[in-house]
Amino acid sequence: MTPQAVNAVASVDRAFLFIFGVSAAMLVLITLATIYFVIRYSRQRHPVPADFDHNLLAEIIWTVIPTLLVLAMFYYGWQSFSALRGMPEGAMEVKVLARQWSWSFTYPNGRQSPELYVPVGQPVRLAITSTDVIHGFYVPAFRVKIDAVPGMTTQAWLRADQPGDYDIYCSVYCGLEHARMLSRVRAVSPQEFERWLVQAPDQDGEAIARREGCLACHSTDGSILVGPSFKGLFGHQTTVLDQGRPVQVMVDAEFVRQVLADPSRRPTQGFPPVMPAYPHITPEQTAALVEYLKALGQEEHQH
Amino acid sequence: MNPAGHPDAADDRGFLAPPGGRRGLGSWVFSTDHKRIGLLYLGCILALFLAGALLGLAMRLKLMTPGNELLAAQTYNAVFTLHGVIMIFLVLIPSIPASFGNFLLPLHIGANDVAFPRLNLLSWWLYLAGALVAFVSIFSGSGAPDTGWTFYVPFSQRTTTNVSVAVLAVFILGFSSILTGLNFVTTIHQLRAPGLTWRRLSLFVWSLYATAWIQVLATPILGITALLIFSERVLNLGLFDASRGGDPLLYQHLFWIYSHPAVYIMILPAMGVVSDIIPVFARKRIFGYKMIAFSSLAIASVGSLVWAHHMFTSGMSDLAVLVFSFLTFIVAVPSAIKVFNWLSTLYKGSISLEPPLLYTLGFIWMFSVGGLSGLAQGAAGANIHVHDTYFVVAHFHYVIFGGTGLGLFAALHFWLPKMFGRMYNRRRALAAFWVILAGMNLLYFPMFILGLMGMPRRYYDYLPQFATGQFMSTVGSWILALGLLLMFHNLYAGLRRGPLAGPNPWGAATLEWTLPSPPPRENFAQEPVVHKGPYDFPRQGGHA
Repeated sequence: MTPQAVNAVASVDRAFLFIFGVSAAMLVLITLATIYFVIRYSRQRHPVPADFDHNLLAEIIWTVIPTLLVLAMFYYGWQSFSALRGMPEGAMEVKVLARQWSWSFTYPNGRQSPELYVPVGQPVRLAITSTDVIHGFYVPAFRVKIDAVPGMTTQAWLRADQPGDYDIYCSVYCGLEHARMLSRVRAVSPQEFERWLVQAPDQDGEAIARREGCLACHSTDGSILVGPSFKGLFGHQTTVLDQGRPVQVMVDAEFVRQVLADPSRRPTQGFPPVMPAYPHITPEQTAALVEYLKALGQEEHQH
Repeated sequence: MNPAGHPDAADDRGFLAPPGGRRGLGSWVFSTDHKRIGLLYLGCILALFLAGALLGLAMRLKLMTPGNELLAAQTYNAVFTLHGVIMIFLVLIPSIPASFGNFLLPLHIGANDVAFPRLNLLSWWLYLAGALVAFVSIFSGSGAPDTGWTFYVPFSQRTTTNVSVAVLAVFILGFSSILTGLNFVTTIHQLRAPGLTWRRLSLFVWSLYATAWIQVLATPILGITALLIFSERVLNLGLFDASRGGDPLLYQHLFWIYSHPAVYIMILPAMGVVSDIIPVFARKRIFGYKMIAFSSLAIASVGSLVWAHHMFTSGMSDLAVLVFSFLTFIVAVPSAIKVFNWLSTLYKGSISLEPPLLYTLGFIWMFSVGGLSGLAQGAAGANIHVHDTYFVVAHFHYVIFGGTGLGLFAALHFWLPKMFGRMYNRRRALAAFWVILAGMNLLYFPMFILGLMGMPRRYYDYLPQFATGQFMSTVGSWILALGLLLMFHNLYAGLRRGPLAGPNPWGAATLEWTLPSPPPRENFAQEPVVHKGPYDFPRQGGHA
């Protein structure tokens, strides 16, 4: 198991260990009984079988005891579930947005981040949703998992007791790059967290592209991920599908603006039409992205 | 080639002989003989099982090392989808009921066929049609489906791959399953031989009966759900689209209302096989006959009320989690009782460890591991951690491959000599079992650990911390493949060239063993009259 980090974790692990202990004991019992019977009552040793086919007492015992055991498992399971679901009062709320195939975390002051920064020792509430298909927000270290469902906000909470980085996975299959929809919980000291929180987020194009998850699908080195690579894209002709018909267009500032507003209108030929819209991107941010793309576009041009 | 001791068997090839001189494919694919239909299913199921297994091997090869580029991401996603669709809808759901059920049900109840023989043939044709449509979905349109066998919305609505055709295949296959269920329920009610009371039915027939009711009652919901996806994709209704007032969770409920009971369609008949095999090789009546028969019905009914335990993390209400977790634990009890009953049948028996029994004991062990690991998932809090991870993949494969798969293999070793009249090599059958058992455990056990470490399922690549377990699992897949090759080769060689098996090689007491092997076309020349139970063996040691 991954290292423990919050109290709910201890509760979940207790339930798991109880179930594991009972199960292991049962399995050993079943295995040993099988082996013993097969050897002890083999036809050579035991040519005449006994003649019985019921035993009320034994049947009552092995109905009642497993029933009690599973009820205990149910109880521990429910107790630990309650620990995971009992949202702490007054905790900071971070909005979690899932999209194909990246995560975005928004803090109460508007700070956005592709990674989940949290202060050590303080509970953090998460309000989770998705812009496209169903994803799953999963942090094994905190035993936290909840689906990110479009049109719905789900809740979770976690508290890191040790500073460090903890993996975030997407747990619900969400298409091509499901396996790459990873991020991290970065647990830092409260002082460091406060400093990080008030930092003006970088507004240069690369930082925006990273934060908004663009780079999960568009490489900067010419390799093909989900969409066309940014390298050598800007300032060149590309083929888009306009109502199903291929059309040559120039990738310029206007094109970038249109794609961000409504990517499904004219998807690039040869790539799956899966890009989400980015209506919240400001004109200033678009301009910064254009500068970033321009630089990457020229990079290829020099070759 | 006259089967020893059966002078009345004029034709020693029984139902396998060309009927009325008609040879070739037509005498099979248009035959309404339940035995021929059973063999048609068995052939298709085993062929598709091998196809699904090859896809599984490809997945394991791709996942052997992190960063491996054997399969591209899109290919991997299509491969795991096809592996699931083939194994679930084309192999496991029909598996034992459609093949051995068809072959054995009339024989077990002393009838000459099922109640509706032509409907039975239609079921097989629908199965074949569904399989062909599924095949078309792979190679036509804009690429093989990449949704996983669960077809979760909204992804299944948005993906550009050939999902519409694939759900159509599922729809057609559903009809095949419903009609088989209908046929079996009617047959068991109407066609039992004189003296064959409900309490004298074999437990295999009881399990078919419970299964058939699930097929009849739950499968229509799958059909509707598949049609809804189809209409969503074609007509764009917005039923599951949150932005238009629809609800993606509605789909998950509809899907699991069928697909959880479907797990019992897969496992109950295997439990029936096990319940029939153990007494034969222990020479002892089954322990707790009524409890086993009743627990099949209990599992079938309570098992229909636990579907949302697949949805603890879906965002449904906490109250629903409470209720479904509770019901899930309740349904665990009848399964445990069955295991205790099987072991008690061995207790003080006179046990002969022939291949059918060894595969059966393998079933019990693998099913126990799978069932017990299911408890961790039924517990609400623990479920949250392991849901959608390799832990679930391990659990499922222990129950379904270790359980239903070994149950099917036990049935093959038990009944193939009846079907074809010839016996396989005993020693090789035993050896193949140990290779299969070792392979399965090396393949699937590391997945429990990987799941607890947090490895999510359906990932075409993974972080380095999961590399050791993934590698071990891949090696396990090779050992398992070797074991399966050994087993299938031995069975095939046996039914081609093995020594004659005789009518009753195991000394079993159900009605099919009173007939020559293979059984004649008309089953029973005279309607049998039943005076005893299915497990009343002649007493050994001079008491016969």
